[in-house]
Amino acid sequence: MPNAIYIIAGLASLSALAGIVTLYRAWLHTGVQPVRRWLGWALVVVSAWGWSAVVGVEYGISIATLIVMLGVFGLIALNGDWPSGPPRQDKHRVTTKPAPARAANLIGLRGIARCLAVVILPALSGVAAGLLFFGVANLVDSSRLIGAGFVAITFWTLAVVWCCADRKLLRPGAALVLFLAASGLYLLPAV
Amino acid sequence: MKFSLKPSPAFVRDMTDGHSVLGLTLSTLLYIVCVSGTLAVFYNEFERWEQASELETLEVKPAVYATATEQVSALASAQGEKFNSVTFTIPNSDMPRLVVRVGKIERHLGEDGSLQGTVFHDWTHFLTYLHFALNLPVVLGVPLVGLIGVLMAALILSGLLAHPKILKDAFSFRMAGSRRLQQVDLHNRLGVWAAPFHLAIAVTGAFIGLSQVVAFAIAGLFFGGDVEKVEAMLYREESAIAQDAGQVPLPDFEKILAEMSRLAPGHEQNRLRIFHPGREGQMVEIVTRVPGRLVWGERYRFNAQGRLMHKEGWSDGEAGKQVYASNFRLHFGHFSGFPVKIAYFLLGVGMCVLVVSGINIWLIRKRQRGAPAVRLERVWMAQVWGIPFAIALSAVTYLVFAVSAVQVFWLTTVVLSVVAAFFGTVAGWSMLLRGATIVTCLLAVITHVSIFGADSFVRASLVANAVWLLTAAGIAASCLYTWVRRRECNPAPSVSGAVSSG
Repeated sequence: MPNAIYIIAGLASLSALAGIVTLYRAWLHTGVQPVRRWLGWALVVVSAWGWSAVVGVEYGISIATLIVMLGVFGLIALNGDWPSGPPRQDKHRVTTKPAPARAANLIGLRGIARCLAVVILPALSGVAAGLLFFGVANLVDSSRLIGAGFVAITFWTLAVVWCCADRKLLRPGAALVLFLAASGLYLLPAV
Repeated sequence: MKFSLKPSPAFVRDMTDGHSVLGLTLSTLLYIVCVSGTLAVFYNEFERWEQASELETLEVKPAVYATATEQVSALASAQGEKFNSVTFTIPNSDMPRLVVRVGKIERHLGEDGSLQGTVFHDWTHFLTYLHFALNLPVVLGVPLVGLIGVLMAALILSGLLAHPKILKDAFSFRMAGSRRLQQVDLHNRLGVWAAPFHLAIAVTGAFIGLSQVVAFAIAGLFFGGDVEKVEAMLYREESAIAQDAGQVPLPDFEKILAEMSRLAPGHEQNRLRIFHPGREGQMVEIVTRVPGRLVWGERYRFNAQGRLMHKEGWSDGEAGKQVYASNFRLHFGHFSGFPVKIAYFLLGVGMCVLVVSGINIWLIRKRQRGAPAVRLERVWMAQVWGIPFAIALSAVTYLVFAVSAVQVFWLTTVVLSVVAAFFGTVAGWSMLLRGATIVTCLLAVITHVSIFGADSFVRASLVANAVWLLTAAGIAASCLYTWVRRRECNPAPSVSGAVSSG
């Protein structure tokens, strides 16, 4: 049986590599290549399935994913457009006029406000979301606790992305403050 | 109204801006966490490397635990150490050394259970502590690194959202393009294809770092500030005995270990702990590694007569416990043996390159816009190569002079950053510190060999020394590549301080 395990693991690894090459070939050819693309992903899934059969689902999916990631980097490095001869120069753009002092101050103030918003509001909202989950979820204690941790981190992350990317800081700011107030109103009477 | 999933240019621009702001804010701290984490994948090997000549075995006779418990208890009493438990590391594939710990006392054990030399893992502890707390007090450092994990997850998400040509550019790697294009392709290919690994590391890291914050909040709101009640949801509380509990013989280790093997055949036992040794109500806890599962382990508790009293349920209990216990191996890369550790190491190196290329893109863009941040470019380059150099230097100075690795690392990093702000060129700092890192990595191996002789090239020491040598070889290859490219392009070296020369 140990031999069979090695054979399945080897075939699963080959399947992952074949999947990567198929995806690469689909990408190389111009035009839509849905069959090749789907075949590539299917081979990757087969690899995960094969590894799962050998070492269990948790290890199997992790190992197949690691093989795909490292395999892609190997392929990219081998087929990359490596330089020869003199390097191409970066284009230099014409220098824009420096911003007036008042505008620069305003930008600076906005930057500080944004930084504060990114640090404080998402953190508070994330923790509030976690508390809300813990208070509301109808699960056993340990699952509520761990669920609360993951909900907090997920909410926190999404809030950071929103605060960083939205040009109008007021939008995420107001939404998060509103969420904080609402969750506070919901949770405090329950305690 | 037309609905489209294709992001608008304004959305992409906003995401890119947000991604840049986050990346710049985190840059150095994230890089330190990534470099130290990449090396810390081999923390077991580095611990064994620090004391390369210690006895290694996987066979322990049950009677050894009784002998060692008596001896270490006597030593602890003589030193005035108060304790209510004695903990053993059972030799296992990760750490095949028998170690006993009581309070601050930690000693290796002989095959007969006699106390041997003190355990020293100071450099490895510096490395892991740098990774999970940036050498700050734990109360401050762990949540800070957890916050870095959250921001890293936000960086990954905003990076993916800011990448509208994710499929079109899936395999593009235009190293022959302009410097900016090189860095962009490097950054995007690493960021997109390794996103599952980066997300797993960021989310599990954030969870490990911030779980205490969430636990405090839950305790404050729902349990009147009693954190122990929250912890009891995941861990069974330590057993308490009566103050006047009488003296009894030590537990029957042979029976307990036999029962453990019967209950969980195929599980590797890695920790044994005796609560209240030699007192009425004493209890033995054994932690095993569960084959094929990501959970850290399973915990069993036995009474002194060898009867199972409790199983924690990390491997087959409530879903929350299983998810919690699975975070650690997934984060450390400690599952499925050595090949996975190597994969984590390589992907960790990729993560470091991802951070560096991200900042490089921003610096090149500034240069292109005609407003180069020359000083910042030098400082960044000094940190990019200075941080690995400082880590290697801390290992050498620790081995030779037993100097505090924390002080060497932070002093070197700060001094290099300050000096680079005023002197030199980017290319100069890059070559100087790459050379210094190569020399220091080689010195780490030479020093180790001079101290431990042939023990430097067996078992874990071979792995740790190979990590140093391969790091030196990798950096030497990068130097060679830079040198060849310079010769191909222009016999006269550039002094303009090109960022990509790093």
